[in-house]
Amino acid sequence: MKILTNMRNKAKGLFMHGLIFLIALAGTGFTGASSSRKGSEPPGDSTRVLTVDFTKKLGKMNPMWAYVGYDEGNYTYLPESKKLMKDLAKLSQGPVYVRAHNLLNTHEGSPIALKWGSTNAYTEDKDGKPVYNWTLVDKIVDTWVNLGIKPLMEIGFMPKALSAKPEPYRHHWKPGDPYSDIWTGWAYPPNNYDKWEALIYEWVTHSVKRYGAKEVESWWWQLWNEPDAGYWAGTNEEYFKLYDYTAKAVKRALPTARVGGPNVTGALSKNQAKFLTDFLEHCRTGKNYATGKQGTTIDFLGFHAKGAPRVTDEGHVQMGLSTHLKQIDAAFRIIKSFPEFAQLPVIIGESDPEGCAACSSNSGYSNMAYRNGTLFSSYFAESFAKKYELAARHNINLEGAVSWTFTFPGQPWFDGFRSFATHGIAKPVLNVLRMLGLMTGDRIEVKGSSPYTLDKIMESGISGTSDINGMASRDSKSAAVMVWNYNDEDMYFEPAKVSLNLKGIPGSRVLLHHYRIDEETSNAYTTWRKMGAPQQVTRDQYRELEKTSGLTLWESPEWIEVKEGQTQIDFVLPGQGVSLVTLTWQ
Amino acid sequence: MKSIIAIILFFSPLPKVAAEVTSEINSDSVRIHVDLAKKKGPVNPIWSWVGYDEPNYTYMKDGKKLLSELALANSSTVHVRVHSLLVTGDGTPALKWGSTNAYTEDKSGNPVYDWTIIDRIFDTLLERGIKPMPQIGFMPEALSSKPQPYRHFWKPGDNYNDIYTGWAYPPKDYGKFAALVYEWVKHSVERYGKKEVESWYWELWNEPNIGYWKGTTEEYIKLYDYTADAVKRALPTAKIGGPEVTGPSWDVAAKFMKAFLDHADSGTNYATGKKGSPLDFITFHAKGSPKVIDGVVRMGMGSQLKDIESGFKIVRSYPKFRDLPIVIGESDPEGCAACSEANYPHYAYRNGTMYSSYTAASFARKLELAAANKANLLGAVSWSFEFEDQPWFAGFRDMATNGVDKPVLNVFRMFGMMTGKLAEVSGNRNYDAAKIIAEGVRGTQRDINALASVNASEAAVMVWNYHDDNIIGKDNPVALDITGLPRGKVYVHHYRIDQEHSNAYEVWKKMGSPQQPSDAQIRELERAGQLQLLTSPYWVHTVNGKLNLRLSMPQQGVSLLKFNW
Repeated sequence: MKILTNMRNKAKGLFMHGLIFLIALAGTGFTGASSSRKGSEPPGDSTRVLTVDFTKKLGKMNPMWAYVGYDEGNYTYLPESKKLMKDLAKLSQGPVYVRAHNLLNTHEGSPIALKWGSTNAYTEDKDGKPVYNWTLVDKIVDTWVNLGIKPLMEIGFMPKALSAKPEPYRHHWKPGDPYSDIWTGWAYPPNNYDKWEALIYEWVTHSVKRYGAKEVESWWWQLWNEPDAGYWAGTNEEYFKLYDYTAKAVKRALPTARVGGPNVTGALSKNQAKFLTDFLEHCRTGKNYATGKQGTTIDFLGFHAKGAPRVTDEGHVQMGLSTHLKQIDAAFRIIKSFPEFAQLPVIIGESDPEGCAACSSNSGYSNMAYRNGTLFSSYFAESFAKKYELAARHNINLEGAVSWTFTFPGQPWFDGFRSFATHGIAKPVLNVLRMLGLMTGDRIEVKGSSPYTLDKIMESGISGTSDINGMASRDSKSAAVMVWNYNDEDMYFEPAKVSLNLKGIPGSRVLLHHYRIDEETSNAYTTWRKMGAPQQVTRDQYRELEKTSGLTLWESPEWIEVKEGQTQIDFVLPGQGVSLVTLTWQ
Repeated sequence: MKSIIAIILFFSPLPKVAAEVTSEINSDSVRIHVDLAKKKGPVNPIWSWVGYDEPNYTYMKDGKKLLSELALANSSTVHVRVHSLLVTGDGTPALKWGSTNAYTEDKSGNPVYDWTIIDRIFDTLLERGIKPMPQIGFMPEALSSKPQPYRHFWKPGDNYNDIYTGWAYPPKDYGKFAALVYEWVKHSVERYGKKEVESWYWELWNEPNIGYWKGTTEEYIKLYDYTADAVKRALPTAKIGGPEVTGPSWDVAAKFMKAFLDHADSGTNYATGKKGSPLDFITFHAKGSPKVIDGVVRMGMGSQLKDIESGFKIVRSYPKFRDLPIVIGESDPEGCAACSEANYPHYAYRNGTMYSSYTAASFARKLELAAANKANLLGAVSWSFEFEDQPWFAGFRDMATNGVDKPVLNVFRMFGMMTGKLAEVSGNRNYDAAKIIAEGVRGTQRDINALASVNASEAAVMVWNYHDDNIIGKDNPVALDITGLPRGKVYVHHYRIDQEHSNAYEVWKKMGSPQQPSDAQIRELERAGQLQLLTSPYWVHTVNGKLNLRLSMPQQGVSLLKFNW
């Protein structure tokens, strides 16, 4: 039998080498699916070997990626958005959370516009008495709850009747305009903090009535957005005051509800760090503006983190992953410096490659021209893996990292918004979330030969040599390894030979699925371009786009042999490609 | 259908194409209920058996590739049966031909054994974890009682009887034949070890009731006795079986099979003089009967199922043998894999989804017939492999063409993911094996049905939409209710074979049916030949362990819904 085993291995090894030879001949863009790429031959020098021992658990694989958000709260109930939300709800074992801006804004014209939304939840009658109207808030929240999606309920912005400076109120920002145009009357502190407190109390009370206490207890209530930037036209101290009133109202309505903040823009700059630190100090020892007591209740912490893409002298986009991660690192350090809060759940309220979802690349934001294709998807894979690493390094209870990425209904096809879908068609990046949805159970250590440590990436990003690396998980009857080939620079790189050396697998025969996102696979953007980039899509074209937009298998599922808990899986991964290999057993 | 589309458009400005939500369910709709809590017998992987006439294809380029794919497609061991392993010749492959030169004689008439080519064939299988089902045959030239003419040159369109030449004759010396068999088994044990060879199913000859055997029934029985004795002498624990008759719904085949079993039961053994013959498993064949009616191929699944039922009944009528394992040594829609469709228009079902949907529907009925007849069905060999260096999609009965997988192979990939125990399926379509045997699937009602399996933490439901007539109309809505799932969320993979999925043939036609596809086209075809998902895999909440799925099943489509938890 030994002879047989060796013969088998030898044959497979030869096959593998033959395959690599074919790839070399084919030059670029290997697409040939073929079975039997499981070899036991030692990999060549240029092969990236990733070793995964599924007995080496690093802690729970918390689905912190299952958080999404968008500026335009009223998009929620539009058909394109509903379609996307159905897809989102289906991709995670646990609930998906959604955060949206503008839920308390007052109507002025259409509630549907870029970086705008309104519900008219709060107006006042002639006598200055509050008039609460939950119709549109309900329409939005019903849509989520009916799909099993839970709100990360952002409390904001200021209703016109409560704004300390109500005029001008409605903005008419469009891509290309100065970003600061958006900050109008809704960004101001209340003219009456008690009325604000009453509004929040009514909102939470209404929510409990409509959805039940148990449901509302599972939500996160969170105050405002980026109060250190133009979103808040008050002072830092005024934000703390608003927080105190808000927290009091939430708890008064439902003591078991969870409330948090402050969702600052980041923690890297002096001002950012000061805001976050001062807020936490206020929560710890400050005098509570609402209760007069010392400190304020806080159930979870939020901050934002954004990368900084640029256009190189050669004219291509270079992502700024380094900045994105450094923001997270800085915030984690500040949180850790408060022992009282160090173990609170942390939700990165926006965690993105850059700061403006609605700034479409076709409207002149050339540094945003990464969003339709595989640079975005590979960035997702790499950056989420690093978020897990950062949380583990700082022992942070990272509950969520919101991708401020949704959809922009009514905009041109593939216009270059930061979105998961266009016209109901998923972009490659959504398929990374679908992959993450398969990674359940515990997080597992991946050892590899990549020169990129976390510190090196934070220091200088990933350019020149690409980072071919992985992240793994293990559940009771399955295991998964995600592998990506990422580079900050949007350039062609040679496909990488990857060899997964997997250990600690139970059983002798396991079912392998290999999913792939690359130029040719799980990529409706490529399909659309091959169609000639139509802005008027026919029914047949729509079908074709839909068909190619899903998470796709790279090859047929295969039963592979496991010997002494080990197996080896070899494949070729093109630049900006992401693979997910799953093993299931009974 | 028009009204359905109108309704969908009314509710949503987005074109709706996700097949799981489109179809309206009404009183005419197909309803299928799978109850995973009602477990039946274990899933017996009868589908992991394949075979072919041409043994030398085994180690050729596309043959090796397909064998690797078959091994990877199955959770269980694949068994391969091939003809002509003992035929004299230099190993040059040809249609319905093969040779290994295992046996020749020197000038003095002494045996010369040469295992080189047989080793190459078996090594190729075993390297992939595949087990040979060693078919002992056919007659080496030096042993044939009528050696000339020996090599045939049959090609599609020629008379099928042209193939029956010197290799089909009884040995001129039964002792020498027995010695050859003994040496073969002994060599196998030496090369692969006793334990390995004990797991093989050795069997004698092919379809001895027709031209493959030019001797009498009694002469076959005599050859069987000598063969069985030789096998057991070389390895007492080896398994030996027969008689591989053609479909036993034909009285001639049934008579042969009974004569063989009678002899094995109580006849006088030609080799040992004792009563009866060693018999470890029983084999027979089953073939359907497609025809062209008004320019359309009409399959004859009923004939194939009737053969199987007849074979089971014969086996069950022998108290001594009734519980022996049964291998349907060839189990196919018809009888000639190498007869390509250019010359045989009634075989023009093999490239596309007729073959895949037929395979899904017929294998489910093989399991049904085995259960109903209490037959110990071990395997049903699909006599369907690949034909090396033939034109693209020439319409042979094969699973791949030029290294590109045909839709039918993906049904086997689906079956390969069905493990554990069978689960109960019920519904409002009353096609079962008996009805198909009686009237085929020819009326206005299509055979839309399911096969289900459940294991410790997964379940699988295969759904097919089959009709004997090779016509594809509009999709049929199906209400698929599944109970017995765990509470909470389960993970769903929906694999699909239809005109648009897992179907390299349709892609090839869209390319303009190239006979010299470019490298890029070949890569595209290879990918299109893989088993594909209809939608992204997804998590779904069961309602107290129940799921109500709405499928739009294309005609000739096959779905596999796999649930993991």
